[in-house]
Amino acid sequence: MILVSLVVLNIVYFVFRIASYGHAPITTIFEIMSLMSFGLVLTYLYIELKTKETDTGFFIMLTAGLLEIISFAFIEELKDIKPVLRTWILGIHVSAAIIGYSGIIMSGIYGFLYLRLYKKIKRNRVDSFFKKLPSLKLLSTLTRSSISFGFIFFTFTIVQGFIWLPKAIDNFSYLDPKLISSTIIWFLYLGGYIGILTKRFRINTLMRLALAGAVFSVLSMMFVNIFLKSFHNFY
Amino acid sequence: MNGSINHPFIFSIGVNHRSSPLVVRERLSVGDAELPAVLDRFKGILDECMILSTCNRTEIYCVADPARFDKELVKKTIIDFKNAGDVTKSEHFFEYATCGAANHLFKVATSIDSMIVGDVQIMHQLKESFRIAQHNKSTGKLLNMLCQKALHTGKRVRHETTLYEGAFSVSFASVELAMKIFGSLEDKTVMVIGAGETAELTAKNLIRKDVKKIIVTNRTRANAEAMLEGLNRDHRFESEIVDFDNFKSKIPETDIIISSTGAKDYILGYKDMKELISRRMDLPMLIIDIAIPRDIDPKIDKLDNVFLKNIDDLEDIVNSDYEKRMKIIPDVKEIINQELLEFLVWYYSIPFLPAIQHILKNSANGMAAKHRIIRLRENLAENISTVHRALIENEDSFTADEINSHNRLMEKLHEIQNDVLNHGEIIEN
Repeated sequence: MILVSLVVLNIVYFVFRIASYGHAPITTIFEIMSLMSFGLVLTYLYIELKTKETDTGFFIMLTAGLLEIISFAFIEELKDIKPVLRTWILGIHVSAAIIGYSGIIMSGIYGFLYLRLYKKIKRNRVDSFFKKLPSLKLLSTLTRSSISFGFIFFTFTIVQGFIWLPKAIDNFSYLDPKLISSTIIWFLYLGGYIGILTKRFRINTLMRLALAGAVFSVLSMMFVNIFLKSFHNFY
Repeated sequence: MNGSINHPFIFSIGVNHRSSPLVVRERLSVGDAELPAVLDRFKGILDECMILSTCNRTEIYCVADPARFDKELVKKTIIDFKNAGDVTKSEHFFEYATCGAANHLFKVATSIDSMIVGDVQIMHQLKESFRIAQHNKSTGKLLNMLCQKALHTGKRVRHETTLYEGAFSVSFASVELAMKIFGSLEDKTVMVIGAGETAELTAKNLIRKDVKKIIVTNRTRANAEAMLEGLNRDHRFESEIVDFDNFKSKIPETDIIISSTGAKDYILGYKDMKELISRRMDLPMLIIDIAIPRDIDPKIDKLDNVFLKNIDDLEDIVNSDYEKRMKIIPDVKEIINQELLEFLVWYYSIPFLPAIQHILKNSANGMAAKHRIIRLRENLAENISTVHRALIENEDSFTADEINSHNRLMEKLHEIQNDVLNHGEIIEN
């Protein structure tokens, strides 16, 4: 109930913020981080309501909290905002991307928790961490749900991006680093998603892939954003 | 005007695993059905009475006038009722009074006095014993409050600590592992290979989690039938008996195996298992090997998603939980001390009711009366704290010390009451 209230409050805040500033909170990497944190909580809330499982909330909130703290510490208002940032289509594009990445990050967290618990059961390590976690069965279900949830939103983002971006941006290029890295990530998750549907992966392999996929996605996006020049940066 | 304090005592007398050998505890054990009859026997001797009897203890909690109380008569009554005079001596009984009796019940209720610390069962047993005593009209104001406070203390320990979490035995450890792997056992099939008490107990604990099917296999079919009969009395789940020579064919459909045969060699080897497990579509499997020597090739644990646990593994889990529970005991004692102090303030306030009424009656205004009652209560709590602290520092104090402490406190309280009644004031000490 507290979580639902906070999410509703955050949505109201975003709506007022967009209305007063005239653009979505995606103009700096720290605004995006805050949005990402919100996306994580939103995705977690969806999964909690779907599975009635609350034991993993702590780990998700910890990640969301960290993102929010970094964002809060460094956030500053941009004076010069590009016109493209003021279009609602971009708002949808970025929101879908954020939720997609949230699903991917959550699947990584659940994959990590699954692997930790698996090891603890094998080694008879019954500590408080062991006690806090839900069952292996549930963690594997949560991982699969998060990948599917994230992949659907990610697919929407990619398709919408390919249709809309060339029209909206003057210096659009298919060789843009962010476009390439996003597409690579999408293809990786397409493979993973097909693997889940056709049950091709052994469960432990799937959990390792979920963790590796999440780490790769986050690192590649950070690398592209920080070190490479892209038309895809709007700030 | 002089106020006299004639306050009934709470006593606790009984046998438990600390005070007496098993044979005495067995003979003095009182079943729920016998409780009303034995409570009736105490009706002429004691003002209030409640009996808690489990496999490890038979304890009588009672209220009586200390001047008339005969502890040997209480012991004799229960010994005679159970016809256990040939094995039971007076020294087999422990004895506590007032603070000590209350403290003991709180420790029992929270299970820190149990053989298995953290065993939640004792709470249910206390609740039931209290219910029977109440129904039998054997309890009164003091025991009702004492038992309710003890149950409340148990509840607090359950909510505020992790004392009741974790495995107490090999069979509980198996269930804990199964729940951690599968989440729910509702659609799971359990296979029991061989016989043995631990195997049967483990199977029973798993059944409580509503498994779908039980498969039993034994070299002697009659033994398998007897075990299944014992496990599935109320036909709650599907069941099947499989010939021992054929049990491997059932492994692909089994989620949990409990093995406990007297075989000298492994009955399930690595190669066989690798082939069998490949037909399970990567579903996890838990194997509990309780046999000594072991039934299952330990290499099988190397297979992905197969969790093989032998008796040493399970005991490791039980011991690590045990150590954790031991670390929680100071927190539990802290809760007991808080609740005990509250109970004692209530218990020792009862004789003060005339003083409180006197203040209310003779005070000119409500505020002044309220202020004086608060000071009276503070003084009371302070004096009880002294006795309470002495009790905590010397937990094993028996009746003589207990009664002396109680008498000292009562004298002190008597003085305070007289001050109020005679002078209308509490004289600061």
